Amino acid sequence: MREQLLSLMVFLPLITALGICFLPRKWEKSAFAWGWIGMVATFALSLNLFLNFQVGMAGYQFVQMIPWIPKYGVNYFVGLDGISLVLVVLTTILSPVALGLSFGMVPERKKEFVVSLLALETAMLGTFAALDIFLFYVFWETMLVPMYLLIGVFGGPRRIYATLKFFIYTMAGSLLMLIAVLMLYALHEQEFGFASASIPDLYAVSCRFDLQVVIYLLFLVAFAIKIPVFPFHTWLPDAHVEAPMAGSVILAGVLLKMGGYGILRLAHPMAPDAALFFAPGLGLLGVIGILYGAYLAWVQQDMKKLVAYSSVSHMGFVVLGLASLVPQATSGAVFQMIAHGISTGALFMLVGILYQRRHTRMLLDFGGLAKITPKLAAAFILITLASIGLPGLCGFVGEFLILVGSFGAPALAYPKIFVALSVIGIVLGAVYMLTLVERIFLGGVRFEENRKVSDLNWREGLAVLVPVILAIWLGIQPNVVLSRVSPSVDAIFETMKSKSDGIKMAERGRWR
Amino acid sequence: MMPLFLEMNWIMFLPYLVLAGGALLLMFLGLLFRSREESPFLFSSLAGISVAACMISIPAVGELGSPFGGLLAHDDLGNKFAQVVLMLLLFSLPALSFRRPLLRERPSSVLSLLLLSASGGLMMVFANHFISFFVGLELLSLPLYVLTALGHDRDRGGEAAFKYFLLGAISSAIFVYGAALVWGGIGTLTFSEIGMSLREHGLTSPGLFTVGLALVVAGVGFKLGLVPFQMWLPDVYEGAPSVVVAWMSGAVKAAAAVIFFRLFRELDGGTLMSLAGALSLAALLSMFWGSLGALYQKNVKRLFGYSTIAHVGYLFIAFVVATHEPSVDVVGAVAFYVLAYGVATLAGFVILSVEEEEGRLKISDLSGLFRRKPVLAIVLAISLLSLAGLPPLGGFMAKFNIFLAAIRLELYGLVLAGVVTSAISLGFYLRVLTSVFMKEPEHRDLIRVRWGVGTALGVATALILFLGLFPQRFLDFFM
Repeated sequence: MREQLLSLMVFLPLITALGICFLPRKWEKSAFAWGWIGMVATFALSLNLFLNFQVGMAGYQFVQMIPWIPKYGVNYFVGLDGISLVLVVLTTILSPVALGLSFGMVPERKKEFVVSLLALETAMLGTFAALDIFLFYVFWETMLVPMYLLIGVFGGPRRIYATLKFFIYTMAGSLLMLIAVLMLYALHEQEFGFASASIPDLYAVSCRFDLQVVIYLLFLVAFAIKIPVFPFHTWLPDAHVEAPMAGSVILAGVLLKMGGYGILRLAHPMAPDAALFFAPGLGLLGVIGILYGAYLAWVQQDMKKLVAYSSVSHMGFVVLGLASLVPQATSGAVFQMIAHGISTGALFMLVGILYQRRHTRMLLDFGGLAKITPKLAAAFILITLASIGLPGLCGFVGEFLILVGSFGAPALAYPKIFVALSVIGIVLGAVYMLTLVERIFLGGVRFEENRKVSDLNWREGLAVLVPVILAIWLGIQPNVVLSRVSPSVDAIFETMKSKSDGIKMAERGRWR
Repeated sequence: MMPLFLEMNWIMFLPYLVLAGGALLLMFLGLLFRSREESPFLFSSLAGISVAACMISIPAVGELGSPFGGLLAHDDLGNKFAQVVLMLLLFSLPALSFRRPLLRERPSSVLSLLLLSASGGLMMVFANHFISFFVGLELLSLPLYVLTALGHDRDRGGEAAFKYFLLGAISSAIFVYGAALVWGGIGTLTFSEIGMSLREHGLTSPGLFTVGLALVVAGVGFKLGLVPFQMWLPDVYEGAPSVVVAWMSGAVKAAAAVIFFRLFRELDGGTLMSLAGALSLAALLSMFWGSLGALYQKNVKRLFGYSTIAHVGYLFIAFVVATHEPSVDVVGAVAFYVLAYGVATLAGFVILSVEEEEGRLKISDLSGLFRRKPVLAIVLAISLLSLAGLPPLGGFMAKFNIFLAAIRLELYGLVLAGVVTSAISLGFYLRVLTSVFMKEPEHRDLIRVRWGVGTALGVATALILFLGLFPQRFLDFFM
């Protein structure tokens, strides 16, 4: 049973979705309840995994392997290390919260909505759990279809444009990744004489520098689109603005992390020399993302767009941390991914709640809501502070580790300049986030409609409470995440060091 | 020729006899009944039985040697593709078993034409000689010309059939001319003797041989819709009845593909090198022409036509690989690809045949299909996404096989082109799906989906999923 636990967790949402497909139309309303029960059960399973996880061990746990396509050496091979474990738990927490909040927000086609969300959850969990590159690719691509439906069917007025842009952008990236996957696979076959698609086996491939460059760039484009890194970010605001609330929460909370996870799990360990070679470039793109995203967020009038661009900025820190090729900053990047998932996910929830009440997302239409909706305002302000990176809340830890780690990272070429520029990004972050709070909640009530806005009801309150508690808890107890993540990050660096002398140098120069 | 026939073991000819016999029997039964009394169900079951009997008999007779003194070769290579042709026919049969005929002719004639055409495909697949390949090609094509004209829209069907016939005749002529030149160049028309003849005698006239070979490839490329011989294809797909296209698009490819493998394994390195260059260029052009052209189509059937051109391009990546290294894996990859492509197209066109009956074939006409007929919409989505190559569907596995074979030989350029065009092609597949899932219906439905269509779609969908999720069995069979 213990062996199948992980697979059970991955596929439980899909099984629930199949059940809901056969739900008669007249009982459609109960689809939400069934879906929610399925997601909570999934969360319970993931909690079980989290508690049973051996902290401090670097290897994969809960491993299960079944031959799938022996001809190609492809196995159904799943397992978790610390990095995927925390991301899995983030997914299983955000999904039921997002669904629970959407109860009243979907007027029709409730069944399809719930089924899409459940299918999406299985695909996300599968991507994090997969230890076979073929399986990883299958789950990775499967994510697209439910998201396409969520945005395209349940989205706003420009939903079709947004969903096509999202789908084609992401698919173009993942098709490039497919070339990299095939190249790695063929190289492994050449070097070792047998076919295998398992990720740990592929780590052992030692390839020429020019091939590494090709493989790295192909992977990087796919993951950079997903994160999104600066020149590839244009799909994100459209997708976020048009997506329904639950879609935005999952998109910001989990899907963007796929990119960072992919870089860490595949791009860097498969091509360490190329990673070192491109580290300054990637770091620079990260810094540009931080500043450019922050600047764009600053000038937005639409709340959802503001939060979307703030995502670009926050994920820039993740990119910088990954590019530094220092374990400390890399652990920080993983922590930042979790923190961003919690805070930005929660921001999209709160913005969604406001939109549902006022049917507008323009900042100018609000003002003075703090007096009318105190609970909403309290949650909003706390989440905003977490997002800015106030010490004691979750956003601080990740950014701190990333900046401290990158400050002495020789791989970045100009680490001190990069860090200095990123700090400006943090300041800008405080500016736009506090402007957001001020415009919505502070000042006088200028519009009569705003007086009728109701505060959080018990269901919304409970849903919002989850990220609020997590933001505080992880801010005070970051070790819950870090103790699980760090050994796995170290293991990935061991893999890289075994193949590349450059990485050893890069790490030795780290600032203590 | 007399002794040849007397010596021949007629059992070896069983697969063809079963198919052609089934065709004749259907024609004969058609004479007994008046058209109203004909039971389409009974007749398509009969056709199905003969197809199934043929499928079973092929491996059995394979051990008996080659019939017609070596004109046909009942080998493993042919068997793989023959099974694909027959499987596709078997899956499309239920869609033809309606009381209200889909075509202007009676079910008995339509079915017997289909069986005859399949027996031609069978002959192409096993042909070991230019003559027998040509006879098979004509036997495959002639019934298709007739079937193309049988749609309810007389004008369009007639135009399409005429175009198909004329261009088909030209392609046959090119093929025959090429075969004649090959004979002039090397002195044999038997595929399996080309290699030996090349090694022992060399070329009597190298120019003749090369030109002849190029013309043969062009003639077959014409049939497949390879750029620059693709212009007829969208028109024919648009004009022909959907049920006919459903079978033909996959089957013609399966039948024609084999000749490349039979030829390539005989040729020497130099010829193959120059062929590889030409084929790579044709593959590139096909992929881009097909996927870019499809972006601008309003009619769904034309869109499928252009997407077919792109898929022919992907197939030719595999043929380029085969020129470098004619291994079993490439053969399997092509057979797998044709099956996955054929089944997905079959599902797509069977769905279109339902819409066609209601007179709607523009992309905008499909709007709100999900509201009107949810199951049909989901099957269409599976079929199109499989064609686009999204995992875990059959089309992804098919592309994976071919791209992997190309990557192993470091043909990065072709794979990159394949990947780029796959991304482009997603654009038009999604345009259809967007209309199906995200727009409101503009029409009300008059016609209910019949169980025959349901069966055909059910089988096709199951196979698409099976090819993607559990490909091992098929890989074992094909590779």
